[in-house]
Amino acid sequence: MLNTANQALPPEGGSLNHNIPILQLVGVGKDFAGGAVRAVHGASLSVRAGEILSILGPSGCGKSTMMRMIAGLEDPTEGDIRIAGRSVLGLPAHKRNVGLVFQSLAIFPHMTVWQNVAFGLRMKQTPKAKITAKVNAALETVQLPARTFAQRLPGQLSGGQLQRVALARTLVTEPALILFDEPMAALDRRLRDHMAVELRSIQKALNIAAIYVTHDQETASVMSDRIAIMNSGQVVQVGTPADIYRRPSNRFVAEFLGDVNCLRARSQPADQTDRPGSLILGGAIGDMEAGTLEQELFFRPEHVLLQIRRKSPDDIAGTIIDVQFASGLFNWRVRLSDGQELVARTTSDLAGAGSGTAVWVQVSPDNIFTPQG
Amino acid sequence: MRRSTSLIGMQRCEALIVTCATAVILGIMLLPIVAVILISFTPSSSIGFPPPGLSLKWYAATYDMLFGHDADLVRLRESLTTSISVAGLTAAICCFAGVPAAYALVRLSFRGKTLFNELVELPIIFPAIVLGIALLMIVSALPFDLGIFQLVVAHSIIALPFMIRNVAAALQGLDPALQEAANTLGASPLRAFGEVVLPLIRNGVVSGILLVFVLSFNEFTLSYFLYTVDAFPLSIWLFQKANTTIDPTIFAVSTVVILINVLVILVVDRIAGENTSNKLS
Amino acid sequence: MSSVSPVAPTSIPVHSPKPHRRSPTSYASVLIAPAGMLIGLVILCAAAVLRISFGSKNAEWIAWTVESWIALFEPIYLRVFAKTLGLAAASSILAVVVAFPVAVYMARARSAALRRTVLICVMLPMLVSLLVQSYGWIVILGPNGILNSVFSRLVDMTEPISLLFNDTGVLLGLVQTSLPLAVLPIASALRTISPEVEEAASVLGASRLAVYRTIILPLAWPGIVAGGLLVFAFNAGAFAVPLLIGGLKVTTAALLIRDEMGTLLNWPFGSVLSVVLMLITMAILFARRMLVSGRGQQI
Repeated sequence: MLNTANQALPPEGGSLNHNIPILQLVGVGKDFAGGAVRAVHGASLSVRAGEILSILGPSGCGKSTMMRMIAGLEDPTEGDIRIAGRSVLGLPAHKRNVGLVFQSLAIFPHMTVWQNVAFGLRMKQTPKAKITAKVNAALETVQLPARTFAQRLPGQLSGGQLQRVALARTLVTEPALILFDEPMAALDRRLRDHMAVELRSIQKALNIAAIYVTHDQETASVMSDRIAIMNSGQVVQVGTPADIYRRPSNRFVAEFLGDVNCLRARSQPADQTDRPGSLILGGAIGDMEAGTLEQELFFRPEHVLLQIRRKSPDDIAGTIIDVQFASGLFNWRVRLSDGQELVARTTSDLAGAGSGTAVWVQVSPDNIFTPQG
Repeated sequence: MRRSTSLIGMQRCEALIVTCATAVILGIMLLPIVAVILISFTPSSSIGFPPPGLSLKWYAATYDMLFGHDADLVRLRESLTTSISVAGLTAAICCFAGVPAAYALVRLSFRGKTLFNELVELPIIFPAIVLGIALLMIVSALPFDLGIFQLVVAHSIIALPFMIRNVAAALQGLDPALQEAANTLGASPLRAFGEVVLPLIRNGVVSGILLVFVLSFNEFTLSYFLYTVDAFPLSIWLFQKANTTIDPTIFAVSTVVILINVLVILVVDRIAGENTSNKLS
Repeated sequence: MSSVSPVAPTSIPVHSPKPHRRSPTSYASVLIAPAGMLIGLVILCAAAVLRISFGSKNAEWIAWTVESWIALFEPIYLRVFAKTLGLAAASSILAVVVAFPVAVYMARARSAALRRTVLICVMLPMLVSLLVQSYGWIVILGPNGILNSVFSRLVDMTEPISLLFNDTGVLLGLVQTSLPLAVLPIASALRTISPEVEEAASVLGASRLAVYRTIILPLAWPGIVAGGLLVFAFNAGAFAVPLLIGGLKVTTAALLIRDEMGTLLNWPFGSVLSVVLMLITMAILFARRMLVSGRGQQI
């Protein structure tokens, strides 16, 4: 797989294998303690060649269990796992050809960098000369020159370097699929961002299929082509990072991916729009059924347009009650005329507005979502 | 400002009291060992204190008993050999039984694990005398002679928990992901154990073996019930010798035993210290 | 709308997991088999003793009678058990008291080297041959021993103090050889108390003594109870120390068993005594588990 970057990919639809996803999960479930604990249930996913998919969810959502099932470290209690179209159920981890970069990295502390990277090849009875060449190439790929690092013990390496060793050790075995179990959780923010970009560029260069498991939505967004959101053992939504951020399928996904405003609105017949207590947010009202159905409207703070002067009849009156400045942005807490509160995020300081300033609020209907559940 | 003392979170006076109390208590606890060593150097043939001088004559007597003309008659060398063989075999059996059991207890989940975990501790607290007489009754009901193996089996029973504890502690300090990493890299479970787990818990296994060796070498209660003319360990030799005459040679022999014990314990401690510095992060 | 499941589950038959791999239980049973055999021998021993306690002399494995059990209730034997339990109780209280400062030192010493040295010193009395140490006590406590020669120089004594071959000497030996059993659980309980908790109490106005009374002792209590009961159980069955230090003057349950089995060859009665001793030990360990786990749930 190290050399795949140089190989020409088969033309689109040219080979049968190309159409089959590298990994398919079909209704996979896992019970622990004889069914008392359902760690994962009904999970279906697929990963295509060259794609990096993040599994994102809070801790305890089942994402690690799912990954361990793909790697062959746990057996699912229901469903099927297929790699390159073939079911791998019952196949032990050492026969699956799935790479796994562990959260703790799991670098063998009693082996040198070289021995760590060569381990997988040795297990596959690779000839010595081939091992040398492949280990060198792998260390090259992760930018750990063999001349300097090969003979070092893991204890002599920094966190970032250990990360690279773990990656090289997995890449060198040319797995069908690489799984990453939050391997950068222990690194500090800046190094983590740097490594995330680097990891993605290596993955793209080698055109390898990968799954990245994390609870950090920023890393997931930066890393992945698609994100699968998991909550309490189920896959709740799969899509591109931007898609999921803008169109979360439920409240959990919306809140998990960032700050969100939630306002109650009631759809009204057109002639009663000015009744006190009613709420009109842009044209959103028009999308709703007429009647008295109460609905919750969600939107991101950065999608709120805050103005000192009224520009449109749809604007809603409000009063600023607090303002915070963080990371170059102003966060305004605004109380609307009917008593509900929202947060708006702007780059401008609204000409020195502060607590008590009257403002007009507008949200474009494109940015409003009304998830179920 | 508060001055830092040798004990965390204590002021000088309190630290001093605790330190002194510890020193005095440990001094008293070690007194018998020190007394044996001191008296072994007496030139007199009684065990009165203080010894009237210093001499190595009882060590010379011991040497004579080990390698002199009457060595076969006094049976010191024979019992020493027996004790070492029994301790060695016991260590081997405990290693063979203890390492896989510790592995199962730490790494696997299986039915009856809680029960097994409780039972592992059983031999520690089971009264040794009851074990001794019960084994004696069982052995004498057997139609054949077990030789030194009746000592080996008895010692293995009581030493096994120490082996399991030591290995289990080493395994608990090991990231389970290491072995899983080896698995995902293509190593079969057995290969992963041999290439990754075993080298990393080696110190725990070795110190377990040494501990078992010492326990078996010193064991008295079970040996008292199970020794035979052909399986005659050093502890029984010492006991019978002391019963016939209180002669300072038993103190010279005891000092040699203490020396062996302390050496092994220091090696175990050294290994334990290495173990902590060896680990990653 | 984003797609939730890109794989169409209906078009592919769903496999149930194949039992290709050994189940964890069968895998584990192979691994624990050798250890299980050794532990099984203990249970076999317990069963054998129980069986023979209902046998009769010279027909141990054949006869069924409660003769030996009735004999147990003769006052002379009850007195032996009372003495055994008394010695065990006294030794466990003493061991805990003596162990406490040592445990505090081990839990709080700044220097790792000192901590390790203390640990070795604590372990030595347990690891070094009991027989050899008993000879040491004979040297110290005997009529011409160290203790008497020191005392006779300090005060004019008409006759030497005798500690050998009596309860006091045996008690001393029991405490000394079982000390590690008390020190280790107390030290590990103390280690879990963060010094910050103590500091918080001090800041709130507690004196050091009050900190010991209200913070350290209650938090170390499970360790203290565990250590004390362990010493009790261990010393209730002690054989080597009373045999060697007590001479033939102090009779404990273990020595009585030895006499019945070895000298009088009365296996059934020896077995009755053994079963009682076994039950006492088990009851204590059961109590320890109850107390410690009950305590654990509270915190």
